[in-house]
Amino acid sequence: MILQDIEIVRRLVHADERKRIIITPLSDPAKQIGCSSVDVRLGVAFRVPVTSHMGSIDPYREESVAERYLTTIEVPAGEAFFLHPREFVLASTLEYVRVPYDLACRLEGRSSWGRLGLLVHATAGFIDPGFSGNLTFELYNAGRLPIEIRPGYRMAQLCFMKLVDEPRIPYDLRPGSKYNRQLGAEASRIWRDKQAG
Amino acid sequence: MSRNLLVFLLSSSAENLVRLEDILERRRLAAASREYTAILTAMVDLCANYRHHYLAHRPTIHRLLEGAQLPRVEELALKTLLRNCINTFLTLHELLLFLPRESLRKEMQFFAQSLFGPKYSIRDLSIILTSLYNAFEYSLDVAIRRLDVFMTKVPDAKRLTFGHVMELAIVDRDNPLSWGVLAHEFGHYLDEKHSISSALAAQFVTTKIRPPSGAASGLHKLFRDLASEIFADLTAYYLLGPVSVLPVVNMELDLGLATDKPMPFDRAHPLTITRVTMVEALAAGDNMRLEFFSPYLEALREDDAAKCAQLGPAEKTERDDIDRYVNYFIDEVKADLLARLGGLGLRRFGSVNLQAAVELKPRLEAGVPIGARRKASEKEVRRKLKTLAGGRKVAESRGVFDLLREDPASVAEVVTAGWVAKCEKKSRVLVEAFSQKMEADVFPYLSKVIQQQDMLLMKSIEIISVISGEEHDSAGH
Repeated sequence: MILQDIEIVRRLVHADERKRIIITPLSDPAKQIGCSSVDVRLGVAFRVPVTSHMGSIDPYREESVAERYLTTIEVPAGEAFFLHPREFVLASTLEYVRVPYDLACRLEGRSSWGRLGLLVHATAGFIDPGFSGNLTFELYNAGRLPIEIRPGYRMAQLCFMKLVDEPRIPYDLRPGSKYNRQLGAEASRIWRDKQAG
Repeated sequence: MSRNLLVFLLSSSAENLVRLEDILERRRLAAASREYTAILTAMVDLCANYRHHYLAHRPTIHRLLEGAQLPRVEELALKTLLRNCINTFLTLHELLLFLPRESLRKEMQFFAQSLFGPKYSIRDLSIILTSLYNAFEYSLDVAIRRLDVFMTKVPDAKRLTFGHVMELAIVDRDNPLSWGVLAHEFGHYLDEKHSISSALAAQFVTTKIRPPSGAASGLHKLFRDLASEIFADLTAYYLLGPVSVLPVVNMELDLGLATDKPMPFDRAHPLTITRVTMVEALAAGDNMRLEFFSPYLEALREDDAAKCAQLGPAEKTERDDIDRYVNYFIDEVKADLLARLGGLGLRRFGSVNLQAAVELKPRLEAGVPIGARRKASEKEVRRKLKTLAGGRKVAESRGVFDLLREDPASVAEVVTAGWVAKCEKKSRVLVEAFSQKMEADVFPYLSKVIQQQDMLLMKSIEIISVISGEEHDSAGH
């Protein structure tokens, strides 16, 4: 069951904190809240792959994945980031999001961007109950011309789904949950899988 | 030394160590050159060595945090550890001066646009990271001159054409709580641009002191430098409110660990205790309560009193005389400097902002960014929701949606909320860290808390810059 606009609004101010959705900042709710979704915007930080010094990615070496592969670029408000054809970068939502235990959430692209060839996530659009933090975009330009994007642009939308029941172990209580409370465009932490065995 | 002061120093020292280690580790992972990595590895190892020293004192630290008055021997051992740690820490910073340094483009943008207002061009400002030791000085050139590396005359940094430099300690990378330093340096920039303090200082010397011709130039320089620092402090207070002085308090206590006597008057900056007293008086005049920050202010007062007690009678008289003159000078020029500052169109921090910051603090503590806040209360929105009639009434529904609108907070409110939260939880964090079951978890816990605090504040400030930019754009169309 997908939540409709008024139910999303109810959840945003729910008296029971356990049931409350947090999406902040909502600076233009009338524009951001759609009939069954909430638009989220682009933040200022981008993680851009730097490949000249690396032959391959070793997924289980932290410095290979997190620090050496991706460099951070901050684009101040009002300035543009140019995403070139077939370029892949990470970015993050401006909004901090918290998904209550009885809901799950999906990050979906917006059709206006899709028609320009811009994909907002490569494969990971699902957000578990109990997740808190800023969401990471996996931006990919599948078109043939560079696309100019700026912090604050509405890039994607969140839709919320009611679960049959609350999970036994929500994301924030799951040992080894890798991205809870992330606040920026976080690189892959896949090397932790190996540490966890 | 009282428990409060010792806990304060311990907390500050551990935080410095953790911050430096995190920065070094980040740089090491990202370093492109092997030689550079080797230097950083040596520095990281040195920090790790100090971690072990702290952990060796864990039982003592535990007793201290539980409220016990330590035996004199244990207190001395702990103080020696802290003293050695700050000395090593400062040495590492000096070494970092010779490695590639970073520019704070992001902070500069956020800080200048959100705090100083769009009227101020920031094209001629640059912010670089430098050492803690030189954070209040000017530029690498001064450090090189001090170290006497080249044995030649280095040009005066202020006369170079690269523009005004605002500096921040390397250890304070991504730490908005230290931005009082930037606001102070921005005060110097304004002062030089508008020639504010020098004229007032000259007038004071000529009309109040009336020196004999032989002493005139020395006195003019002294009061010009003093007036410049007072103006910079006033600017920092004007923009950021009372928390602007807290990084100064932190630094005084950290650096003061190396000596048993109070820091001497450097012929430019008023004594830190005087700077704090000035800010307290300004805050009282602006109806701002400062009890949130009392752990810091009390620690400074106690440290200052204990160190003054170590002075000989002649030293004490000299210190009191200097302080009296400086205070007299402040009383004479403060109103004029504030009036000039008021005419520059800056955003003034007031009691309303302090109140807003206090209200934002619980959200910050819950781990949520505080860059924007809703005007309507949750109850109000819920009440409106109940009044909505059935059916599809677009305007009515959008009216309710609009109640959820969040407006940007100010950067100064975010920084102040961060300080309020930090002052409140300072010793609690230390207790939690040193109560970790595994010894190896003590410093990672501290590191996690500090990183989370920095990231939350930076994210909040990012939100302000983006939303304010949107408002600015839509107002322009």
